[in-house]
Amino acid sequence: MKHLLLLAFSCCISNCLFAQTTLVKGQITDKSKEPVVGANILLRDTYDGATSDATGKFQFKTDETGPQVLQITYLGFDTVIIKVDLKGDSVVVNPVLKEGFNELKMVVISAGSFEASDEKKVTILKPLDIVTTASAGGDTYGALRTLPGTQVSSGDQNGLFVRGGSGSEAPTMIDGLLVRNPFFASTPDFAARGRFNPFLFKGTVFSTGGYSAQYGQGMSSVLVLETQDLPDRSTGSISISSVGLGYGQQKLWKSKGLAIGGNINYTNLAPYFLLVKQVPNFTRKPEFIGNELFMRKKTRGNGMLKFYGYYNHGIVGLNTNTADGGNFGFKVKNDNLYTNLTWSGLLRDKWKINLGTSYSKDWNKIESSYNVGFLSADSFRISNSLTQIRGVATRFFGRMTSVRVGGEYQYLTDEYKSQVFGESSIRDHYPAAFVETDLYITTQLVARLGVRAEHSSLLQKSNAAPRVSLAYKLGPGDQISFAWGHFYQKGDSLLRWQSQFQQIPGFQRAEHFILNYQYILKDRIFRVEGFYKKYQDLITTRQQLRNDGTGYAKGVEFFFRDKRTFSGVDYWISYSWLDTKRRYEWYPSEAQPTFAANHVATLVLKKFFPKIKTGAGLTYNYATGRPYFNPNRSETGFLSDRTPAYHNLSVNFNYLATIKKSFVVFVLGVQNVLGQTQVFGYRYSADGANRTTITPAAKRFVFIGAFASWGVDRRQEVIDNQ
Amino acid sequence: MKNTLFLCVLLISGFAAHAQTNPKYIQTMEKTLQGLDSIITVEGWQTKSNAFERIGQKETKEWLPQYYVALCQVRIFNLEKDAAKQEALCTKADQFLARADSLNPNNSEIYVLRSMAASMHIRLNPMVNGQKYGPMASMLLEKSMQLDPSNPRAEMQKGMTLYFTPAQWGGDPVKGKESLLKAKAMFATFKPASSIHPNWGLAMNEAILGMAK
Repeated sequence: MKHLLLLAFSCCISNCLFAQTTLVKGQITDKSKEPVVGANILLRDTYDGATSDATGKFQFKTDETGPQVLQITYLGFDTVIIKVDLKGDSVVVNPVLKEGFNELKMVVISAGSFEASDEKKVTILKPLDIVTTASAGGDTYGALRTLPGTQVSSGDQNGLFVRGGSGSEAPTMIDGLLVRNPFFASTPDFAARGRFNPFLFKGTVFSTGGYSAQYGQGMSSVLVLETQDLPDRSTGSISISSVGLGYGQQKLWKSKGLAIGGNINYTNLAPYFLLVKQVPNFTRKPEFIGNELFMRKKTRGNGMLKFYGYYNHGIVGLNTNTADGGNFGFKVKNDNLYTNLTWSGLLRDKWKINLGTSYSKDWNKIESSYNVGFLSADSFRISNSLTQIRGVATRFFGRMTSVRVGGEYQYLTDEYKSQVFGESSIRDHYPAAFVETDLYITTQLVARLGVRAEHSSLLQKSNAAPRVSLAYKLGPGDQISFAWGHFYQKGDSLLRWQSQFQQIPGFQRAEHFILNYQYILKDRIFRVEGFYKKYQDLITTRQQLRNDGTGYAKGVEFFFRDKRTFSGVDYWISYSWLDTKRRYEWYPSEAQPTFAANHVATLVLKKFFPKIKTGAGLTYNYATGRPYFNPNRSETGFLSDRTPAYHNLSVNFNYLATIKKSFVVFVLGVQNVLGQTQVFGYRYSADGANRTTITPAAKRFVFIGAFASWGVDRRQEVIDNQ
Repeated sequence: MKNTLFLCVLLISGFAAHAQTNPKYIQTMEKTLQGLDSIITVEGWQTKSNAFERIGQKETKEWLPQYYVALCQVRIFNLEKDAAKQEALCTKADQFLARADSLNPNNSEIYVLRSMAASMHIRLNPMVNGQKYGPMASMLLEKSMQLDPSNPRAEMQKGMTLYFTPAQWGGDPVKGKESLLKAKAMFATFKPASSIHPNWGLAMNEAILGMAK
């Protein structure tokens, strides 16, 4: 103690004896030589320092001596450290500050990609928008159909029809892992909704082409969904609506960094169908029961472990009259299991690791009766499964440039059992590897270079697909991007063909060229994109299975979103022009496929009326007619007929209330308010003399519901989820 | 053992004594705090913020400099119009409040400021941040009032929130004004723990009351 005192005392003395004052001064500027006003200049571990004035100048006196560290900080700029030697008199420093990393000022790869994220600053959509759309009816896929490049009049088939591609050419991924059966079980000519609740996801990337080498097996596009992290608090919810009931609960243990939750949903359309007459005779009204279970756990090193499990049982059956005067009965019982376990975290702060595994299985029991001609009633059992693992390691260089290396392995099975055709099954081992870099040449110019290699044991073929994207920032709000790449895909329904032809064709291939211009300023977004797509090796089924199909697609698309012009009104407009032809499957010649309309336009409008606590939304979808097959035409007139144009006006209203401690939203949504006739195609009788029309099951669809939640104010999200 | 214990006690008490009586720290803080309630420009707040930051990097065990840096960010935020800068201010306020909170947990004043910072996130982007930060802001404020029911700044924050929040999200200008008037009375009797403890807000409260007339 004595020593300490002595030391302190002597320090004091020495300070007093040798005290000398140094004047530190200078001027702070940025790279463009403009003065930096309000920067903090300080001598580390002392009180001494100053703030730069309106001309960037500063000065202060200090009694410190010897080598010291001068630190200059300014919000939004990189900190500058200068070593100074203080020996009395004055020291002059004139540091130049460099602007720090700012996401808003970086160029991003935008060709072919629509992103909805809360975490990134510059996105076209926010996750809420995915479900804030009147025509979407709470379905992620429905919302995506309001974006350019997609078909809106595909109410007869599942999937996203992107730029001349069929529904099977646009796969869905959850946390990087493929989902084989993203849609509910459906009956012929009636499309089903997506299985997954949009609120499971914090981010969505929808690529309409030219996508990353991380993903494969989609000739048109990919939809990448990213699940939520830990919630902010424990929550609960109940819903009751014209189509069913739901209950959910989620518990958060904040100190453990753990959340566990689940949902149970029951859907039954029988009461609704009693009130609203449907065109087909539903012999079994659609009924679904689904459970979801999820767990999220923080792990060491900023890691996150997530489990998601989904099980759904559904049944639907209907009876329709055929053009032959016969009767077609169809009933499907479906069970679907999807599980997904992922971990992501940092390794030594330099590597980001994503690991995932997933098992899924889908069972269908189908009873079909086609009491006409040689076709007889049959019953099928169709099932498929997918077991997969995936790993990606990303190494960052500096703040933006990164290199990704990864691989995945999928084991797919398909089983088919028919009373008439017997049994068959196929198995495929599908390994793939990829490497890709996001190379920031400057903050204005980025190049993404990647290559993906795949092998299929079933096809006994391998491929390597190069992918390139470039983006260049022209000014503060606008940029141009370009993308090019090869995209391979196995044929869909290989099982059916294999059972008929005993032979498996190779990969099909699409080549994409995309040019994109985008302008984002405050609350306005304008985007225009042109593309050209060339198909090769499409599978034809006319005699043998061959990879000799060809085709192309080209088009121009516009997107404009504006939240600023009209106070409180948010709207967007999409327009797509598409020119496409292909020869594939049973097509005798290159023709515009049945799922492609040449012109598609959408208007989405949203407004909230605070005084009456009510939100209103409106969507108008328009598409020119789609080609349909008319057997009365000669081969030169193949698919030359068009259905009438498609119109759909949808509206929704939400009223917000607080009842005790829970937040309640009352919802009313109507699809096709005007009751316009929507024709998706025709089915002809064997002799071509008669036809039936493929239309929605009813002209309008009306939804009424109430959603209550507690723990967190979920009114906003429920407004949007309808 | 006894000796070690003694030494520990001595060290701790010596340290505590140092913290309380370091005259240069108190003096510098007092000087920097002068005129805080009358600043109306970004530059003014920036200069104060910088000064508190300098003290904070020297006195790493003191929560008050960290607290005041965060306060300056909150006040600059209210005057700033550029969204990118506002966002940076939010981040900075959060950082400094986290530091203050770890140096002095369960402090009513820090909780008020954390609640204010949460409201800033909402104002930045109500559609996106409202869901997360709305409940957080009210939770933090409740905790602040629990920790010190006589804190006029907590009552003022309650009043401001009620006054400025749209009705459909639970706002109520009449109740808001009541809280602001209550805060005014609380400011009149409030005694800060020391010359450098938080004692700001009366001018702000008056300004909003002026608007509420």
